[in-house]
Amino acid sequence: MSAASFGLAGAALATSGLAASDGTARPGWLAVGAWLAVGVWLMMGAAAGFAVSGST
Amino acid sequence: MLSSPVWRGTPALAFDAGLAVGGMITATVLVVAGSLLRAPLPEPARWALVGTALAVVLLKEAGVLSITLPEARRLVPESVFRFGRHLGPLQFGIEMGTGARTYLPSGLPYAAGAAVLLLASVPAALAAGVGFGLGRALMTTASLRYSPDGGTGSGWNEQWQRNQRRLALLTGSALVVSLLAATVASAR
Repeated sequence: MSAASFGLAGAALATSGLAASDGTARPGWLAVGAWLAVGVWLMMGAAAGFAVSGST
Repeated sequence: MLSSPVWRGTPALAFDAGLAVGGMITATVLVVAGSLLRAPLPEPARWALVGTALAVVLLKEAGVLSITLPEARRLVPESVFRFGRHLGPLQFGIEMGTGARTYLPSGLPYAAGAAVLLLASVPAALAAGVGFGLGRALMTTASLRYSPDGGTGSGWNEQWQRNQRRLALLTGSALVVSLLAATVASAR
């Protein structure tokens, strides 16, 4: 799982967030914001997961 | 066990997928249980409880508090590999990803768990579960690919022990920043 994989996944999330926008009721930046809000939780879980796996 | 050749290629991917699935299972259980716990609690009380849990965990990580948090004091049995080249690693990953089937050397999952239990929406909870799995996968992959010792993982463990306090600070900070960002996002 390289940095490039994470980059691609991030780009895919951002793109799908923009694609979710219909240009009228839900501006693209709001959709991206929603993805980022979920990303915050992803980061929280990842920090816990990495910390707990140190001596595996 | 992690230095076995089984941890290369597609079995490793099955293991990583299992970690993410395991994380989502735990997150789902927490968010369902949380839906009951949240009912009588106003939102400020829930944030206060999460803040308290976070403070206790951080004090424990810093060595100020000496408390023992519950954990399964055993390794996932190697018998899971009876399921084959891919299903074995998948099940191993699922069991590790739940965080409930083996040791938890850090208290941070408890802080994240409290946040999921009391604050997270279903998508946020699932994201935290996937993140937990990815965090574990990242560590496993990194240790396997750490090459100075030929990929046996012993050099990695040595480095980890040497930088343990710094890493605890880093991962603890990442969790705090994430929680603060979630606070800001929910306040909008």
